[in-house]
Amino acid sequence: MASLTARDLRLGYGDRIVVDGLSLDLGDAGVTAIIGPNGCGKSTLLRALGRLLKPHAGRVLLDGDDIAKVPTREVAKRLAILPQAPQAPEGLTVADLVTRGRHPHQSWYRQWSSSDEGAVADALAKTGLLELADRPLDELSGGQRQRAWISMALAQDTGLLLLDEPTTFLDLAHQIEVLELIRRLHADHGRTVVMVLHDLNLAARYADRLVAMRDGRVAASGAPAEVLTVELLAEVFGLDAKIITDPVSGGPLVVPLGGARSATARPPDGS
Amino acid sequence: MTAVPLGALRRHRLLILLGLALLTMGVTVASISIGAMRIPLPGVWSALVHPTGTEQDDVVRSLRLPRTAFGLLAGTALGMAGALVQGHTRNPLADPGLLGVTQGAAFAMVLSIFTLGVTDLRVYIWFGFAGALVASVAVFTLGSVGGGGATPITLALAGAAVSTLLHGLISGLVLLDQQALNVYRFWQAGAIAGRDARLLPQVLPFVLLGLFLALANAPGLNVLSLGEDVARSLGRRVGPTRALGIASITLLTGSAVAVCGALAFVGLIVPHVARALSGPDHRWLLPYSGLLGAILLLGADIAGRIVARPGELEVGIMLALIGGPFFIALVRRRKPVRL
Repeated sequence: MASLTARDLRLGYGDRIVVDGLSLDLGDAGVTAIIGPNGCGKSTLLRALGRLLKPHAGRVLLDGDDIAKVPTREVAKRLAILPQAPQAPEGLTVADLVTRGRHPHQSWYRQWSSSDEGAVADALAKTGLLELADRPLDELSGGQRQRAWISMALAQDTGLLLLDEPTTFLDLAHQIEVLELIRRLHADHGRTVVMVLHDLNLAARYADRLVAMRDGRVAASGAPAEVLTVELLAEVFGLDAKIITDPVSGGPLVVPLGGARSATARPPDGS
Repeated sequence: MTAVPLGALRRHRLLILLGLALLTMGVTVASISIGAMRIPLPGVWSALVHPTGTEQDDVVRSLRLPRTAFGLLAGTALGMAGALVQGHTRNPLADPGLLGVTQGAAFAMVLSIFTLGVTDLRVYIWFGFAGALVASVAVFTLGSVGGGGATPITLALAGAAVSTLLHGLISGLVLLDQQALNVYRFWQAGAIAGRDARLLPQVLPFVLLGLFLALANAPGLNVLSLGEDVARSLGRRVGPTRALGIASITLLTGSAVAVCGALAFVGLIVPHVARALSGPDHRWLLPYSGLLGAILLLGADIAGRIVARPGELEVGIMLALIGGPFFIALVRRRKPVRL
């Protein structure tokens, strides 16, 4: 099982430090969702975990090796990271895109092999895209397109999958479609998934573990029911909320109080 | 069972490649045969294989053959360089001159004529080639300073800045020097006729190296076209991939423009036609673009000999006449391509 550990990370852009002194162990955690308010550094952390951002200080350990010292192509065989809302060139078909996920396994003298062929067909099957394989990406729905990108990352054949807001720009039904897929990737195929997610209730339902961040540090980490408390929501999001039991999953469900308050503040006679 | 029709797709793409190769051979033969003196195919054959020193043999061997070879060379180079530059900048309106290569070559040639009084074409093309290299290194360096490294936008901006600066300097120099003006005017239109055949073996190695680097760049460019983050995630180092592409663009464009002048439109139009045939896979797009570049350049040159018979129109003018309307049609027919 792949393990990913952050040690005393300091991250930022130029002089602006976003994350300082962060340590986190993401080993063998199934599906982890990083949550937190805008600008708390969760995407920055994910980029550093996926070696897209070089830390100012500290280390990221991939199976115990400093990720900065492992050749990037080797990292790409163990860890895949999908940025937020990636863009493909026009006319690219689903099969073409997924095929490019095999890049780290190919070299200039060995462009294509039967194991590549198998991995691509497998990735397409897992995401339910076999029938759409030769359709251009531009013609797909948002949810299908996101599944195609995840499929590319799957073809990379890595134990670890990092996803930056995989549900951005999708409507609720498509968000569920993508998150169900992510759930299956862990449950049926043993992938370890770390994703940044905005929606607390979806995070609680689909992740085994939540990491709540505020101002570049980890405010809480653990099972959804442990992390999503009234106190934490007030502290991390500055949100007054009630936690009830999700009638479907039995997990925690966050009900913000803001709107409810103004409703109860209305005169009872309704005039 | 697999629903991924990769085998069929590859066969289809190979067939197109074969078709383009045949077409290239066709225009090559036509380019040797058609002109003020029409030489039938048997005549072309005998002039090439066992010449007897007739006027016809002489026309073929000393005029048509070098001209055709320059057309093949420059067309292939500019077509491929165009596909590379559009891929690296993700800009469908980019042409090989975008990185300052063309203006760099022109400036160095004009400068060598102005300051050193160089008059021999075979000497000042080397200045042109060196100018192309220097300009492209300058653009790449300028585009890389600052945090993010060389991105499509910084490269395009640096290229535009350097090109504009060089163009201003050229305008100043050619006002001061009649000889430089004459060379520059001719160079600016672009031509493959009347070039010294001895230049051919001199630039050929650079073009071949450029073509090799371009093809080696194709897999990297494929993943780069998914965005730099995705490319890095797939284990591709972005800096070296860009550098390889820019080296190839410089070699190809530098050799072509130094010898044949600023042949407009080839590098701009050809990749669009090639992309319509290949889709966005650079492993196919690049060879298609090379062959289509040769076909377009030779085709335009042949057309220039036919329309103004018994005289002829320079290929640069023909390219503008063909390329302008074609490009407008291309832009109007389809919505702007996103790369």
